[in-house]
Amino acid sequence: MTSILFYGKISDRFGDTLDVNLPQNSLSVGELRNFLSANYQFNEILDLTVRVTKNDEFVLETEMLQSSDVVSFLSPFSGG
Amino acid sequence: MDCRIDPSCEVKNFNEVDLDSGAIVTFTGNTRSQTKVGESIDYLVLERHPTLTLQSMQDISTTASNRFNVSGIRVIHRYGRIKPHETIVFVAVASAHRREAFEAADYLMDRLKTDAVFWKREEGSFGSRWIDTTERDVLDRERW
Repeated sequence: MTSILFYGKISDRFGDTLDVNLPQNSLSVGELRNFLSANYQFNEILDLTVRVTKNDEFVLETEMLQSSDVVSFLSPFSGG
Repeated sequence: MDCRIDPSCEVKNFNEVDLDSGAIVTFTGNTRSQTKVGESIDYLVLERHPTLTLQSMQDISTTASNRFNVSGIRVIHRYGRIKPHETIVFVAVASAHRREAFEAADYLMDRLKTDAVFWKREEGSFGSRWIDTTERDVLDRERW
């Protein structure tokens, strides 16, 4: 089970955290977006303005994710 | 824990830190009581990231310090649920001369309004509504 965190507007759908069973031990950010879209009808996650961090570092769509990583989806910032 | 900002206290403390600065510029930002279309706001809610929010503010302050000839910078930003009229942000800049202090404070606020890692919602009788960065904020940011 992997906990995925959401910040900002993208959290409207599932709240701050969604626990998911990933289909494989390792998958890319893009593959994770597609997995969440297909299995949770979560099409908002395909919006590339929603950025992704792995262990609090911003990563690209090709970055590979492990089940032990802390993965967060961040809506565009509102600023202060 | 009460995390409200007392601007007068912050100004006093900042002035005492760097007594040799010829110029001190401060900015206090307060929450508004109405939305852009005139609805009453009960709370402005700022969500933050546990690490990236502080990191973004430190990056903004460091960049300002390197870019402008200033001797001191202080930035305080609240998060959570904030009532109308309360202070949400306080910025202070010290410099030998006023121009650098004004510019650095202006720069800091333009960057904070667009690049600081916060997500804002306004709450009221209309429900809860996310707030996006405004076109004006983006244009202000692009000046730098």
